[in-house]
Amino acid sequence: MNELDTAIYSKLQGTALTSLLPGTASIYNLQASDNATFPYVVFSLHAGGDENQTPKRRKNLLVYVRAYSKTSALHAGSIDAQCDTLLHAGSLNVNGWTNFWLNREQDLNMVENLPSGEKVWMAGGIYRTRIEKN
Amino acid sequence: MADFAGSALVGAWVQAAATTTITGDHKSFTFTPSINMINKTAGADQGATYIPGVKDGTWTFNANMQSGTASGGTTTYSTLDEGNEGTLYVYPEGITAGKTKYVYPSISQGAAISMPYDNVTEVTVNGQLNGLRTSGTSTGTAGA
Repeated sequence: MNELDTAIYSKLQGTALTSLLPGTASIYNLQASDNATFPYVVFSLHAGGDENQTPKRRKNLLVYVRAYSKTSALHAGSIDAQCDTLLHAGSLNVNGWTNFWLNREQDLNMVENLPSGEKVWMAGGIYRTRIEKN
Repeated sequence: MADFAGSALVGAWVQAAATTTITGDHKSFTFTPSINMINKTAGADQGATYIPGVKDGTWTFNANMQSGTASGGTTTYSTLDEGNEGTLYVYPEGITAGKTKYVYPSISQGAAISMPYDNVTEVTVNGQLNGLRTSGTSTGTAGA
């Protein structure tokens, strides 16, 4: 959903978050670009869809937002904390829709071992957002 | 005959202050008919027997509450304040002329509001039948 992707990307441009990243472009939808400089943030639609409970159109969506760092788990967690500050109990400006719920529901951590022997730590969360068509 | 879903429902509440279309953000509508029973069990009867008395009924309407004061907001629900008398028109298949219409003269028992922290605010209105329920066909206009 392009409108939601745009809204999340814009929301994650908060200075407190981007100051921990190489730049404001270090936020990606679905997957980081090849050879992206660490650390970076990736967000993606995890699950959800239309509620179909009333004639009004509403979507109930889960969005997975996570930070990747080669420095440490602590570093990834610090970036994740800034994502949390921007998103949890906040709101999104979704073009053509009204956002009435945005809260973090699950916390996730993971470490990946690259073929080079380096480790990449991930820290993130799954956020539920509910939007209603204007 | 084709089946149809509750999404086709149109409802209008005709009350002295205003006629309001209460559907648009509805989740469910239920009408439960009943009848007063006059017990005529007597003598050597081995089971209870009854004479059907007058008809009665109640209804319940549930919807998400909309912000503001327009239709679906405070105007709609103020006309449904507890004790308000009016007539509820219900069109299960929609408002298209010729479709089934039910007419319920009623007394509203008020708009109960539920505001859970993690969900949308909902309104539930219970109504008491206040006269004989009738049925007919839609004229194409809600509340007529």
